[in-house]
Amino acid sequence: MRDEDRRPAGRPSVPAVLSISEILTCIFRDLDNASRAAAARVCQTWVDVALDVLWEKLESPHPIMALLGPIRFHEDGWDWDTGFPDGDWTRFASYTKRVRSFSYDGRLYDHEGFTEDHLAPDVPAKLLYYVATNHGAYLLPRNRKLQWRASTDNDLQMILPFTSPTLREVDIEAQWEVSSSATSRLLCTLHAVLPHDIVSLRVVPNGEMGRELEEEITRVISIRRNLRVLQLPACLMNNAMFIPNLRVLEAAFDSAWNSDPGAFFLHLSDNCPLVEDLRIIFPSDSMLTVESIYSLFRCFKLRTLDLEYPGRVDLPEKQIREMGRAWRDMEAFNISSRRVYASPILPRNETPLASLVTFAQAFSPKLRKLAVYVNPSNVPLHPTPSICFPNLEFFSVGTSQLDYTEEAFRRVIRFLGTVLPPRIDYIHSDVLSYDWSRSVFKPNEDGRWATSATWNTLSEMLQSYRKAIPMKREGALAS
Amino acid sequence: MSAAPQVTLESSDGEKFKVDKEVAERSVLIKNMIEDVGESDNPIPLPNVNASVLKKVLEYCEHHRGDPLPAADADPSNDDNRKRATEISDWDQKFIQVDQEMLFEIILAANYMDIKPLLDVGCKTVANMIKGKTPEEIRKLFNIVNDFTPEEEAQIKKENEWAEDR
Repeated sequence: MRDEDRRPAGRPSVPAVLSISEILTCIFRDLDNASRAAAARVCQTWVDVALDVLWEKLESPHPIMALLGPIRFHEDGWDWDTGFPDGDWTRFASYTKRVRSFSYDGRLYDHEGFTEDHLAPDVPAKLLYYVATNHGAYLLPRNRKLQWRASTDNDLQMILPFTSPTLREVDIEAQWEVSSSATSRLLCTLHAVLPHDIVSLRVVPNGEMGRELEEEITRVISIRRNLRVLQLPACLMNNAMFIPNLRVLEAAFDSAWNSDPGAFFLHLSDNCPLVEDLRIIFPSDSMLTVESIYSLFRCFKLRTLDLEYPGRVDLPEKQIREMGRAWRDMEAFNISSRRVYASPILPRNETPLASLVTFAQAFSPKLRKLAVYVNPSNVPLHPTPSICFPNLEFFSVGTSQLDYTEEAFRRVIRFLGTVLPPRIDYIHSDVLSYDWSRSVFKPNEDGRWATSATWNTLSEMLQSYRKAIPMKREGALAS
Repeated sequence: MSAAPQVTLESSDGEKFKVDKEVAERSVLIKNMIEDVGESDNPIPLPNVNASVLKKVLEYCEHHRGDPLPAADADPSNDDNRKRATEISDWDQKFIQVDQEMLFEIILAANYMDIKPLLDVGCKTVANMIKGKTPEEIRKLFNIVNDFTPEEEAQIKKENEWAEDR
């Protein structure tokens, strides 16, 4: 019997194209959540695909809590006072099994107090208990990605009910009131709970990372050798972190472990030759030089090189060319662009602004983000007009020597206006702050970019310069 | 200078289309077929696509012949990848302004011939038709029969109420 024959008489219930689940998935991913929920109620053929897409990526525990009927929202957050219901666990699991990515942000307060996403302090323990005893399964049995922003110790602890053996990516940020001891306790538990084959781990503690915390993290990663992404911006680099398949690495350089950055990079390129995104934070006593990164040339897949260092790393033209030759896929480049000086320094050996031309010539057209420390004195009067970065989207400079005369400003602008592509009309100028977890390529928490008043002025000048250029060109054509 | 290599495609209703190999290879299905079989003068049969749809699909492939091919491993649930792809270009928008039947045929053909960017344009167009509508309005739009009991529909609504605010 053919399919059509079984249908009730008349037209087919759903057009053929709208009953293929791959196509429906593609359509529903383009919808907002409200429309996905409406699509789920259209017909039996659609309901599963629409709910799969709707629940694929949850950004709040609220939908799960709402499935647990009598759990109510009190002024302290979600709570239940009547004990856990003998709920319909099959129905419950029909939703939770769809979740592939879950994120929680404990900082989502509103002006009145807690938002409805906030959970009362005893919820995590109760959840864990009831789900384990009544449901007999994991809360999110097929989740792959867990992203957690905790603002209190309770928030942090609440992550545990949401873990499962299917997890592959874990990202934890502790902020505001989270204590170091709570973070260290959590890591100790996570070590036992997290699957061994996770591929991505990011941990940002609240404030400095103590010895105890570092030991816990090292324990976690030492048996998880499938990691490809390891982002521990506050953590000092140690032997356990050199994982062969690493593609993304973010950590702090430990000058006590190995005082020579050159030896460190040699070790890194020996052990993690496939690394693509690298961000290392160097302390001021670590003596980073351009020579010390030579061995990194062997990591030919490098796409992001983001080296924070408060001291000088001057980049001579020859070395810039060598870097461009070694890294054909480089997209984002920052070496020590956010230097902080207590006193003025001599300009003589600094990377001159004119070397941007060398960057443009040497690096592949793939370069999209550039952050360098330059000396803007001695700007060439007539820059070569044909040299330009074709795809640059982001440009950040650090400078200590800036001649505050209008003529000097105008020279700088004329130069940058020629070398930078027209889409760049804003020049960032950031200093390395206490917040080492934030890269120069990322905006602040509030979505704003840090810059100095001087470079703000220069950005404005660049914008008016850009406006003036077409007029000049037209004038040239007319004559 | 020798002419660009060409291939012949044959629609389900027997019409033959001679096009540049580069254009035909926007379809991963055809690209793989050519790789497997090797160059040949025999027409490549496409038993699931009729002439009027194939003509339309080839018009799309011709316009986009030089575009970079989408990365095979791009994760569609990834926000960045999605954001990059949310807009439909002016040309594509005009191209896809066809009646519903043709739109569905194009989507089916793009799915069968494995032309990801065209499938995306089609799906986005359908998504835009669905956005903001009630279930009943969607059923009416696509001629879909409601096979839920009122209780079933009410339960799904209740369990997914969270999606409706914001």
